[in-house]
Amino acid sequence: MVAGNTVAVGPADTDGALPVIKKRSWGFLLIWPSFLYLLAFLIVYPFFYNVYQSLFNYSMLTGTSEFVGFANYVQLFAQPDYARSLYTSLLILVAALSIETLLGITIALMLNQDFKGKVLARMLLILPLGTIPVVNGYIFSLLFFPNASPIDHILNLLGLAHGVIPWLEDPWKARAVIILVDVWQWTSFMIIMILAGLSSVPKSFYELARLDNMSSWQTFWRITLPKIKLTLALAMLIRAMDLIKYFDPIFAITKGGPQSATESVSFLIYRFGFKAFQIGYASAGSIFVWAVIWVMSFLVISKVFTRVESKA
Amino acid sequence: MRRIRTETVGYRVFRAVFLVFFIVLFLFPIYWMLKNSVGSRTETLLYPPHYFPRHLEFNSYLRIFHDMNGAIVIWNTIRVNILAALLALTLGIPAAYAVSRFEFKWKEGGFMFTVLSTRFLPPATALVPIYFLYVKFGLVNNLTGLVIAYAGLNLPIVIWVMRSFIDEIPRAMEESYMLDGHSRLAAFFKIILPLSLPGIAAMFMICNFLTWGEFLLSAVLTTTYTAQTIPIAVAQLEGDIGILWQQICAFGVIATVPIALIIVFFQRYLVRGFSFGILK
Repeated sequence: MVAGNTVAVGPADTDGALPVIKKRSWGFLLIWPSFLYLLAFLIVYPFFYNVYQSLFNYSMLTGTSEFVGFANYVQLFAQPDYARSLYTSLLILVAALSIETLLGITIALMLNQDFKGKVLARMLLILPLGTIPVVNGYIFSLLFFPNASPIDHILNLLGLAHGVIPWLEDPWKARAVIILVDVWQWTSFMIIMILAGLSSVPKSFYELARLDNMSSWQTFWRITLPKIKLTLALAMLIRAMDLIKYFDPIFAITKGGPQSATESVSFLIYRFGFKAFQIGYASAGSIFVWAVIWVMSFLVISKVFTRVESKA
Repeated sequence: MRRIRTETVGYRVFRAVFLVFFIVLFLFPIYWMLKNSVGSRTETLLYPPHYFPRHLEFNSYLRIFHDMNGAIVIWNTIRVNILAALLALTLGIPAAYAVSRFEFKWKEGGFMFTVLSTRFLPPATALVPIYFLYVKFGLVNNLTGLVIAYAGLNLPIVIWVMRSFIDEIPRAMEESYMLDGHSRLAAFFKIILPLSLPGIAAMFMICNFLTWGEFLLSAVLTTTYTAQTIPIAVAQLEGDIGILWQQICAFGVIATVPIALIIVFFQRYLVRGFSFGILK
């Protein structure tokens, strides 16, 4: 045996490695460049900077900061803007996520069956994933453009509506449009994730269900769903986290209007930070969102991920 | 292939109608973008709308390149995305290797979950801090600044997904190589990297897919076309004098083609990328 510096005779190893390979080495140092990058750039620095700024009122004009203590936090919860944006974000999240999930499951179950043109259908149905959210925003503003909306035209032709529908002037209709853009792009995401989950269900399971005379409905609830439960949880979690960030189509279509009905929390932070230049207020708003996400990380994300990983 | 469940004719018709309905629904906005990018200006906001363009014109495509520095913006986008993907891979692969091959304290609960959590934090919440950091270091309206930010967005996914790829390479392969007297470093370059090359290539495409349409960060961190990417250039077509719909649609078409191709050809790896390497 050639005796290299890094090969040393060590005690018997426990996890299948050959006993001669030295186990404790410089290897774990390799995580540090990326860890420091993420920690410094995306966690520690932004967090402390936000905390610091949230205690001050920064003036763009003079470039000076004035210490105001918790005034920004008081303003955050005393004025309706912030609470309303949290409510709007939550509303968009719940609506978009439930539609995407139900539609995603239905379409994925169909695509998991055998029929002619299945491959083509799948390809066409995941195409919206390959689009750009802000561009989609503009396309949908065209589709719902006041007095020139092809959607209005089609609904009128079908007799489902009469005349012009004020899509972007009415708060609830504007919210519906904003939710629709997300559903349009990301149902495809649910479809391919659920299809991946379904591919892990052995065909023999379905045969057994058939021998047992189970109806399709029973087969779904007793066999399919338990098998794809964790994949589904993972997909929904990822989607939920992305919906909290929802921004681009709102910027393109409504700019948060009408009457702030479509202002998500991301949009509010952007507006206060870079349009109204109330940096302290935007920072205070960011800190609160962080707190919520971190708590969720430790309660939900870690559980879902460990469970999915151990089953996968 | 034998059918597992005999489907009734009624169900088959229902399924066909259902799927065709959603295919039409899913393709219509894409069609509308294409149609308006080649239709005439007067047709865009016509009511009742023309569902097929009466005249074809390609002015909007030409104007993107003539009036709007379109070529520079597209070149910016390509460079930023490729460099950000490479930077994330350079930092992330060694980390993924370490996580896959070594045991250390706080590995899963500490390191891996901290990494994961950065993927879930809304970029908007780091917007103000990063903006002022960039002002201090002269990185605003600078492609390097965007590369640094986008690499940060990619890194958590690179670490998780590459870990899953490296986990699939049997330890025995590098260990027998090391028993021949080679160092671990040599084993990393001669065994691990070549064997995970398909994974690295897929990851590279996924990174490009993830940052290609990024809007919020580059909206705040860039100010002129010299550093702008396509999504920002599109949003700038909404000006004070009105919205240049045709150019928006034309730019949208140009920008959509590359990532649509990624979707079609890297379908198999997309799920893996989306699920942090957990679903294969």
